[in-house]
Amino acid sequence: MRTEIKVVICAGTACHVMGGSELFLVKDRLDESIRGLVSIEGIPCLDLCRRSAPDRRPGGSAPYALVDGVPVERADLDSLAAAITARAIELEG
Amino acid sequence: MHFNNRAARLRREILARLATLRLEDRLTEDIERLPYQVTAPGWETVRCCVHKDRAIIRLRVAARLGFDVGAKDDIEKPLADYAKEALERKAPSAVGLFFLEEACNDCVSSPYIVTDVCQGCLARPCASNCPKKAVHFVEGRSRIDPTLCVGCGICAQACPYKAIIKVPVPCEEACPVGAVVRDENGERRIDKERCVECGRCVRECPFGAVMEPSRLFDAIATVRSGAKVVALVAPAAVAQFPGGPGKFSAAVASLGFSSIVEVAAGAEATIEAETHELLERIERGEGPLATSCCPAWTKTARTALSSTATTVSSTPSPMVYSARAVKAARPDAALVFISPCLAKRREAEETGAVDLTLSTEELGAWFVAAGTEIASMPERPFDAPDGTPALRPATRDARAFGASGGVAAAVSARFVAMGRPAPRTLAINGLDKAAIKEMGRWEAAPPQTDLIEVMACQGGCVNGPCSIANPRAATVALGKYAEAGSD
Repeated sequence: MRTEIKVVICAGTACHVMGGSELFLVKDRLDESIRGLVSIEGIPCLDLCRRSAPDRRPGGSAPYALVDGVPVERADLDSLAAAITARAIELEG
Repeated sequence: MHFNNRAARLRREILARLATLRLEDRLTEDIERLPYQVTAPGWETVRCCVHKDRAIIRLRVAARLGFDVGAKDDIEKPLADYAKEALERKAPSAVGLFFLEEACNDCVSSPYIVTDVCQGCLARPCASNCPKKAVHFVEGRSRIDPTLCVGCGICAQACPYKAIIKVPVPCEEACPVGAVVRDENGERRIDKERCVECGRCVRECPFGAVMEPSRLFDAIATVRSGAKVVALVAPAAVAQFPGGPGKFSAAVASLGFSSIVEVAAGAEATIEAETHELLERIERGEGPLATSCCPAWTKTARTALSSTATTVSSTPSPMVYSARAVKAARPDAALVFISPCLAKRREAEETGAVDLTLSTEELGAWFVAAGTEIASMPERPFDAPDGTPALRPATRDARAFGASGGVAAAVSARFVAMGRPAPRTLAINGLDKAAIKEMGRWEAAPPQTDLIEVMACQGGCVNGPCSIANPRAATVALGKYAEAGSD
């Protein structure tokens, strides 16, 4: 069984400006039973905003994060914590 | 309200989109499309329909172009006309906060009301404790007669089921100085005489109805005019962005600013002057002295408190000192002050110290539009007032000005360095209604202290109304920036 959920947070400027700085605090929002499974990594830029549709630029749907490779758009603490929790339930099931 | 929410995100999205149109020189051509792009599929409707949402976004766009669009008539004017005026004007047009009437929800402050949670109990402490006999029993439930209720809230406290609530009006609750008023038509507006521009209402309105005319376009125009433009960066601004001071300095320079000067360097002069002013005051036994660097606070002291409640120091703020140093060395340079503060706009107008003030939210939008990746910037030192690279970073104490307690700590350290006993200090961390009430009592009973440090924003400037970083993250970043300062 997998024991780790990998969360990658985009630390690019657009994500930061659109409110992404707090995503690094997401562990505070997780249930204790899940917290230990989660690894959090910031990467300079996932480049997802630049690849968004022209009408959505410049910010696209920033802030972005990946939960085991699946993008979370317009991420905030609540939506990212929800995505991680859903992934934990999926892995357990 | 949590600093990060849909209203805040929309504010930044509009700013970033506008900045993009401006930088790509297609503002007047494409601006009418902006409200449609923002509300493209995926947009969750806020009002009755997407058309009303777009109408409100149009007004938000006009505000972000730098106009006061509080009056309803403004909705008829094409955005392209606003854009042309914004591009052609030589100086910023309007100042001060205003209500977007179309966006305002006309929240009604309920008196205390009894909710469905009421169990109609035997004890009925709500009724027996009401001093005005305003609680009656109707159909097995408590009901409050609004004509008798005086809003004391005793019933709500007495109810064991917490069934009695009061629905607040967030802007009125947030305003510490009673500047949110209703006009003759019942519309909310900001009383500009009373408003201290602390920006609490901007943050707390769940409908994002309080706006201020942005300075972003004026700043872009100044930088593009070919003039030498100096960015004066407050410690709290440096702390809003990732990557540390060196990359931040390079990122700001990449936008076209010719030099980047730390406002903390000006704070060194403020510490010196404040220390001497306080020393003299203690020697004369004249009672406590309040700090002067927060413009929301100094206006509060002037307009909302009696003159005998507190004495505010006459020491100029770090913004003023740093601006003076640059103007002395380079009289022809244009000065742009950058911070998360809104009240600095008024201080800038009143003192004439700088040409423009730019918020960190506006700077952030500019970075996004310009495609600036702060993390991939080289390290760049800050500049001295004359434009040459600074020989040393600003001091640790001066950089710590951006957080609550920073000013008092810096002055205390200066006292100790001079071989004096440290002054007694008191920090007012956040200027809310309770703090102002407390200060009102000082008239009769002054606090037993020497220096009163007042910061209108809880946590200090680093948590100003135009912050973009999480307050915890920004406070940590400010700490690191301060630690990297000189002795």
